[in-house]
Amino acid sequence: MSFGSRTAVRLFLFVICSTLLAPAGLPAKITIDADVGFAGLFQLGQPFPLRVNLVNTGTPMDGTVEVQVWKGGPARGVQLYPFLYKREVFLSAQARRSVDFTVDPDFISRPLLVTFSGPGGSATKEIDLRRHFSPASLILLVSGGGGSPALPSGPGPILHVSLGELPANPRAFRGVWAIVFYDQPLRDLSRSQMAALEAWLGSGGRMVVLGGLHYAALQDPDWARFLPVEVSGLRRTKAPARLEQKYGGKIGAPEIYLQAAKVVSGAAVLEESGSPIVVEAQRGKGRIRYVAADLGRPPLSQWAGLPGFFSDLVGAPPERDLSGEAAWNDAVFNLILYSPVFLGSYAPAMLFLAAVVFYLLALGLLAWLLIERGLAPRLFFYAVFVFVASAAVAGYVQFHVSGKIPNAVVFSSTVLDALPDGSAESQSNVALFSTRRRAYDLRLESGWTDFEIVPSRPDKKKAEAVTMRELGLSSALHFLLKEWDYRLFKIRGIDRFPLRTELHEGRDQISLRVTNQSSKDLEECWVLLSGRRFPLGDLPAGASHERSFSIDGEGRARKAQLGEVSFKDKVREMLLRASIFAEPQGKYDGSLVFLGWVRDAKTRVSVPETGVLALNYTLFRMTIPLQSEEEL
Amino acid sequence: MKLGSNPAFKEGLQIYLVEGKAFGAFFYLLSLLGLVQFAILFLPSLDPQGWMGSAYLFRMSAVAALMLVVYFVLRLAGQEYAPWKFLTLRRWLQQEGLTVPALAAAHVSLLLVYASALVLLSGPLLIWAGAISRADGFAILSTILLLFSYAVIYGFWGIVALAAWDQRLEAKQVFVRCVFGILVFISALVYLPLNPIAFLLSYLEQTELPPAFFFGLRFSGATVHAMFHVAVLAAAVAAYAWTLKRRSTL
Repeated sequence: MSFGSRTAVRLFLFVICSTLLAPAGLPAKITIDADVGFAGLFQLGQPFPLRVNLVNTGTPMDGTVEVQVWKGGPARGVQLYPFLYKREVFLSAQARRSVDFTVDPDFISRPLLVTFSGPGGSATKEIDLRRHFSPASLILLVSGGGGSPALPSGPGPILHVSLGELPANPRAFRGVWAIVFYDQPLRDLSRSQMAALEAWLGSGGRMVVLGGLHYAALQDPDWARFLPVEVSGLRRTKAPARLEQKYGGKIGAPEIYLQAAKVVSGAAVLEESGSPIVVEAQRGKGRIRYVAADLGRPPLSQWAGLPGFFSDLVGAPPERDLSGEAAWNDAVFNLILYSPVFLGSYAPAMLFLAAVVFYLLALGLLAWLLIERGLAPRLFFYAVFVFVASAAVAGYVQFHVSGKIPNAVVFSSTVLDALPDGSAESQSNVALFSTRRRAYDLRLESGWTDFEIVPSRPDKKKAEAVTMRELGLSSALHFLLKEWDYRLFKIRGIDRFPLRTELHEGRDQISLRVTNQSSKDLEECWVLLSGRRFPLGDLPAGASHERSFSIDGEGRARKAQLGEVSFKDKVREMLLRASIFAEPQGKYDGSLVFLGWVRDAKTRVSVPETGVLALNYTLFRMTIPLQSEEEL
Repeated sequence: MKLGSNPAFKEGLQIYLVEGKAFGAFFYLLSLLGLVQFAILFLPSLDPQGWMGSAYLFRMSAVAALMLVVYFVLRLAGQEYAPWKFLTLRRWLQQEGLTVPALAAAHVSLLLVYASALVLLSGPLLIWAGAISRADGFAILSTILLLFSYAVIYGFWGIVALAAWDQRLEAKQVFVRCVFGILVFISALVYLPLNPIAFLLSYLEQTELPPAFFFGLRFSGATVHAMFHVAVLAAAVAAYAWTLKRRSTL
């Protein structure tokens, strides 16, 4: 082979190799895009979903997606501090990946910052949230293959979203008024999306299911978890006159198609000739409404009464009921902090006093030996020096290393408010109190629907940044605490706590039978009734308790009062008075209130470090409204 | 003359530390400090919104120790305890044949011994308080060193009083208390960074003291504090030297 040919072959091989190896040598190029809220909108002041779309045009790489929002601010009465959401991701070469977050900024005048950083490169995108907010809560319309129905606007912004856009975190639904499903099977919903939807519904969400002509969409087995009816087919029927009477306008056809459905739970709100048209069922604090008629197609889509009917279906915008909420702030926590039970865990006053007295006595003894017993001065000075040094070291070891002062205390006070279906709305007030300056990871187990950092006192110095990391099913909050500092949180969720009650009301006597069907024992139970208190003792798991209470007509309307309700553990009493029943409790007037402390209740928060003391108090509360004198 | 053979130094050690005439001061120091610490721990609700005994134990103990150590070192250096047992300065200089530098060396050495003894004895109580408050080791050690520095700087005025008034106990007492009041309390009213309590608290709380401006130059609060204390010590040394020299010529 000639020199020229060899050179040509080498050149050819070089070009081929360079072409093949080029992508591996190229630096990763990341572009970031983000979808804010639902169809670009979120309700101001509420958490919302944020989908970060990453496009990698370079080599594969590991990295971290970080979303930074601002919490605090003048409206909260504290200084602004950054709140970061972090997620580790792997980006394949030449690939696109979406990462979902639920973000909750307090202050939107500063832009939301999305950053991807990895060993091969980084990228940043700023998003101005002021272009995405709505002052009103949102109505989501999820429509299947049958097209989008033209629903009347009015009650709130109606946003068309696909099933895949529904978030997998129940908290992301907080700014949602209602979700309307139309001809939409749920089989494509992931397990986490389904769980989020159920949790949101249980915590007060509203769902409206419109029955279209494609009735098979609602025969999907996944719908059985939500629907109060069993859909069997379609039937042609006379246009319901009751709809026209109630909402006005004329349905422009003598007959319409309705889904043939049988009520399995809940109750029919509107019927026509024995067939349900609107069926409503409670799910925890939430509500689901099923409509057998197709509102997305003529003739009902052109019916003049549709706006009124639709407004009735979605109801009034949801408002957070704070009337029974336990107070949780610096004042309440300081009360607990100074209680002898809590104080004993970090203030060894008596041991310290004993050590000081011993130290003085020992020095006094040495002085006496020197002055009265003629101890050699040199020996005296050595003895004093050795004793002082030993006392310093021994005391340091006792009080710092092997003393009982914990590095931190996780305090959790939970109220389980019974809901009619055996579930309970759980409000956990949590404090992490640290005796040392260090960073903590506060783990939040799955199942919570709402989370809030309680603003600190205004006189406290600058709040430190908080980072939230997703760890599979749980999340972890990472933040720094100074020594003898604390941070307060509120966590909400729905738990199972079945407790069956049978109440028999007479004119002058009420009898109550309570059966604890949960797996946890209840202890130190009380009944608050017509301004009086009745101790019930313990109620173990599976056990029943029956009791009769005398009552007069006037007593029914009396205010619920805690009076001399007392417990062995004084922290329980303090929590009951200063936190759980701190607010004016008008909602319990004229009701029977059953209270009991849950033994060994599991808590949603933990700090996986050594030297952290966990204190957990869980109260179960059930409120049963009494009939008035006239109703009896 | 070696310090071990200095009769004035040996006299001070014998009377205060061997015969135990200074033990009363040590006893008061430890009792008061222990009492203050126990009160801080045991009465945690002085301010229900913010007081946390354990959290403030080390800071408050350090402040209490500062005041007590400075007060007692001033009194010990001025020979306020058992003054009748000490020979007068005139006698040391004129009859015992001690030179001015030897007498000064004895006074300064005794000051260092008293300051060391007071800081050493209060050390365990401060270390325990630091352990309960979870203060780091460096903060505890530096606080103890700071206390020793203040004891020496302010205690020097005790030997100034001794040199100036010797056996006139009332004059010494008034002077020592005035020095203590001015340096430890009234200095805070003049300019906060001059005050040792303010400086100690700002050091332990890791906060900045207000800066000072001289001739257009900015000086941090810590610099002003250090410069002021160098000046206080220099003034004490100068006043002591001048007074002792004057006594020797009388």
